[in-house]
Amino acid sequence: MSVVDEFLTTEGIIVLVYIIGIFLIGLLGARRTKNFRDYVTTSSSLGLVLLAGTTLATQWGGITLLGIVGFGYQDLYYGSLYSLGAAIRFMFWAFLLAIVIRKVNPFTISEWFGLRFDGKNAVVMTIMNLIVGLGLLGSQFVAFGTVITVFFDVPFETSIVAGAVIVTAYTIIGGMWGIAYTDFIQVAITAAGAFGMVAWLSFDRGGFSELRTEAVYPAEYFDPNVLPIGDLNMGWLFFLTLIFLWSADLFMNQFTQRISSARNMRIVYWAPVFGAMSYLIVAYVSPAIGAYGRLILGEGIENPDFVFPELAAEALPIWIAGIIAAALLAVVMSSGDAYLLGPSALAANDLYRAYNPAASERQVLIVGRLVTLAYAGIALASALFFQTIIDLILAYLTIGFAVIPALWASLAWRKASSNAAFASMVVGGATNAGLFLFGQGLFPWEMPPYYVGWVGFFIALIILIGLSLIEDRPAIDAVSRGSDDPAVATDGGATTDTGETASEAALADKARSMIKTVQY
Amino acid sequence: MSNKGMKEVIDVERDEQNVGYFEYMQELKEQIPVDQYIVTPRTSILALASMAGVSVVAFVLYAFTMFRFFSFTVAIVYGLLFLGFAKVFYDRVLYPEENLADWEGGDQ
Repeated sequence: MSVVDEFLTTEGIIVLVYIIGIFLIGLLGARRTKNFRDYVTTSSSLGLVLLAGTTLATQWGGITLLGIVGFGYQDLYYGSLYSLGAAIRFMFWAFLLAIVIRKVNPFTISEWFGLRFDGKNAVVMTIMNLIVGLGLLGSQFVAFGTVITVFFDVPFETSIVAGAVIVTAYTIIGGMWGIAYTDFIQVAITAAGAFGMVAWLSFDRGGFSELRTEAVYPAEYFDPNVLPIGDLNMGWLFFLTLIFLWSADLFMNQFTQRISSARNMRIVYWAPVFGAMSYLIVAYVSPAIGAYGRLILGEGIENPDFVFPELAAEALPIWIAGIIAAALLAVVMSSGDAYLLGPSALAANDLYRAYNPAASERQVLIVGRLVTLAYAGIALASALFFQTIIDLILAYLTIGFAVIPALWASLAWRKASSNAAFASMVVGGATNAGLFLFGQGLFPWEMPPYYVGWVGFFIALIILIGLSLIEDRPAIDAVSRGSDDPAVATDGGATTDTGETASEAALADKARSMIKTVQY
Repeated sequence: MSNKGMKEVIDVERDEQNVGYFEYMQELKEQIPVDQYIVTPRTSILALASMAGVSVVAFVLYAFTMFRFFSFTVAIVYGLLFLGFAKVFYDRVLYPEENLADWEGGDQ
């Protein structure tokens, strides 16, 4: 059957309608994108519904419906634990990252690091984003290729390229507005597809009380039988590592983008809270699909990532399978656009506009779109090289593991110095990259490669704390925040009869005088 | 002076001269009192403790209750309990500690 014939089926038509619909929705974003700030952050206009949708979409990627389902296919309990780490990551986002970043409202995470520390930290953050983003974006292109290949028997590489073209097109045209609209639709379709699949299968094949007796399941498949901490593949240390790996991408620019896109503080807090809640539910849904996959497909699936699409193609009525295919595409495209716009917007802002302050709004917007296109091309090449979702993600997240201390310190530790943050990210990140690529033989035991992330993490943490304590912080940083009448710029200016010292009053005056209109 | 209704964003004026990237960052840094926006130690400690606590609850209680019954209802209950916890954290920790009253509102 030719490729055209493959798509002239019920499933194919549903998928084509979906893709065309998403593209048209993305075009709606173009109507609201007038300048670079619109392109990157919607000029802080998103309400809770749209922001929650695009927030969920940053995590609801290929790993949610392909990776976790595959893990649940192997063991129900482990599939569930795999999901729960993502909930912890959303908590970090809501409780710490969102609060601080929304107050400052920078264009990019690099700008935040430049403000919090200094320019060299901003440069490191830009480089880390561009490198790590390649792997994360490439993984979504691979996931897209996986879905199309399974459902429509299209060559894998062709499918990957098609996914890259589609995601890049509506991202370039619509910017953050287009992404917000498409992410909302895509999350809704994903939820409907995943929940619908579990509902259908439980109706068609029975609930878990009936499945327990099936011979296809090992004796302890349904029991919470987590192995001791020493097991590096499925023990407690593995799941603790997963929590940090899930969090290791929080320095990526798409999160700062979403935070800066929120209309106000309550919205910026509740959007990731809903994200965390969603993963408490995914921890049931995705492993459940994996369990049904084991029942219906048997034990011989070579690549567990293929369980969900193969299960849909095998066990569901054609029209539902088509919706499932669309849902799978939705989940990877919604993550893909986040991984694409985040780093490329950062490059346009921090590498182009920073050095060309005289550039017009139109010029910066054009450059932003060109950079998006170039970045997608490089990520596509990476995707065609690796071709495995989990390997791609884990390889690049291991590098990001070492950035967690500096990110936390930027938000929560006043004593952290610029030099300490810089050294921790560079030394820790380089250590992890080197160990991941070349250092497997250095350890006397066999272990999955992402465990080397702990080495860089602890090195980064020790450098950050040690160097910060050694260096003195300037007195200006000691301004009290604890008074009942908070001074300085956060409150539009306090009166001077609050008992401020002369230096505090001088700082307050200076800060009040610095509130001006953006002149980008 | 009340700060109600004040714009949430500290918008800074960029030096119109053609400065390099590091000078540009330093200029921004001098204009913005960044330390005013970093969370308090209490917020940080409670946030990290909350994450640790939810990890324990999720990794221990959740699986044992979920897969004893494998009930979608149980998953929803956990989700709602989490939303309640998040509401308490916002109201009791973030709102007073981070002066969020100064940042809430409509189009700030």
